[in-house]
Amino acid sequence: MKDKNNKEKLKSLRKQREAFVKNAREHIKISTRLFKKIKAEIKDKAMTIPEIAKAIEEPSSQVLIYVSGLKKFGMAVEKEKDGDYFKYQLVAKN
Amino acid sequence: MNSRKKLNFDTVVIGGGIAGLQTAIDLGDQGFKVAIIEKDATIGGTMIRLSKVFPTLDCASCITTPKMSEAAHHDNITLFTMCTLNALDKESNKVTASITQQPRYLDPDKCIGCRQCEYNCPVYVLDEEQGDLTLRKAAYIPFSNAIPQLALIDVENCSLCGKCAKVCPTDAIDYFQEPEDFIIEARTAVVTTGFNMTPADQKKEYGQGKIENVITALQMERILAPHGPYMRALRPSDGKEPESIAFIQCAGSRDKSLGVSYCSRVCCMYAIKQCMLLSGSLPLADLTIYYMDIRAFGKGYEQFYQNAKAMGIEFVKSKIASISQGADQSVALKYEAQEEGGKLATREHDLVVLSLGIVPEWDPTGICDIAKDTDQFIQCKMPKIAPTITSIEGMFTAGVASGPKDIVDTIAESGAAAMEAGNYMKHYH
Repeated sequence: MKDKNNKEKLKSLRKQREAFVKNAREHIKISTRLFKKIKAEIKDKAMTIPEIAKAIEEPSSQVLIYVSGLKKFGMAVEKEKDGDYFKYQLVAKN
Repeated sequence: MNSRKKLNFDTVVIGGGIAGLQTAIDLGDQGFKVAIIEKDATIGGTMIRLSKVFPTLDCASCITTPKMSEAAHHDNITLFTMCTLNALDKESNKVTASITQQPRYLDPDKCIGCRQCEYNCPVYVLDEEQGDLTLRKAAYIPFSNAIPQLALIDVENCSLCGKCAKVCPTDAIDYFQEPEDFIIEARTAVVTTGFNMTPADQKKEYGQGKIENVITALQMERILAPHGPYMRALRPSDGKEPESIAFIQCAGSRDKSLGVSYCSRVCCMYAIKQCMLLSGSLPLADLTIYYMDIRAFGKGYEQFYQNAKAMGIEFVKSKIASISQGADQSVALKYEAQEEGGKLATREHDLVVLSLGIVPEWDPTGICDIAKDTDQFIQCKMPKIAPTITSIEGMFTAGVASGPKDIVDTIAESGAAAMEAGNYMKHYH
């Protein structure tokens, strides 16, 4: 990191933007926890959103948002359909 | 001492949606120097966020992107994105716009749009560009065809972890960037500030935004877009491919209780368009439009409506009494069936789309003395013969800033605004 964003300056900026930083860290905490749970479920087998939601005990609407996020950033892919639902699986490198 | 940067142009265009772009291109082509002031991180307005347009079903992006690109590369047009308009004054022959450049937290001259900051950012938040149906990062480019292709940092969600600065190959990240005020002086101004939708949680009868699988028409536009959140039509509660989808018309307009007594003009047609697109992607789905009356006023619109009926889209003349949560995450509609003697009926659908009302995006109060009409849109001094002329000489308007209208009318009006502004500069300067 170059001088303009050096450690000391960043430290004081973090203090100045304390509420924002706290908010962001909360987002990181929630998403890391959810991603970890979802990834563990769909690592070796493709699953539908309701199946993932049931397995990790999280609301299916929330699971869909995170799975679509995984897809968007290239970490998961859509697989075959099971009834009215598509299945999703983690891509191999993740 | 006032040390604010001062820039001079022939015309300042407020808003970089399709109306602003068309106005700027038409003026730029005539040799006038134009500044476009846009509040978002990208130009393109609402149109670039749509899936397709009615009644031709052309891809919205295929029409808008070339206009965005043309404006961005035009020798006579300068884009100012992420800008807040603080004041717009007209004195004698001069328009003065006082503007604040909001920080992107990176140097726009150094950013090459490589997205390394985005890929390495650890913060995931809801993506408003995708109707909050998927995630984006705190460091991001709004969407793949955004212009300019520059990243920005959402400071309210930035943990200041420093990762983006570490990976940026051009050392563009600047966490300390501050807002910067500047002034644009011009000979004319064109207000093309577009529209917003009425809030989805406004009506108690419609569940105040708390019922699962009740979405807005703009969310449906994203679902139908090729680069949408799911890349196919799914219901947001659990990813089910919906078997039954309903559209509720006049869900925010023609309703005095909401203060929107006027017709929003485009909802009938975009609901029909969305049904047609859905019938292509979900051929077995039941599609129903609950309407008060269908307003198909433009060229080819009536045929479009008749085609929709012939395709099997059901039109139910009704007034929706209430929306509630049905069984298995479905949505229950209670309505007065007007063609069945006004009897009360109930039906359940997998997904319900609200055609919300159109309201002005920009309120000039305290910023500009331009007159508003009773509907709060910019007042046209001569709505029949010169709809782009406002209450202030040398200040013009185009598009939905002066009232709801479709893309065809918006583009035609933008050409007229450019012509009026050009004539004004020719005759009075």
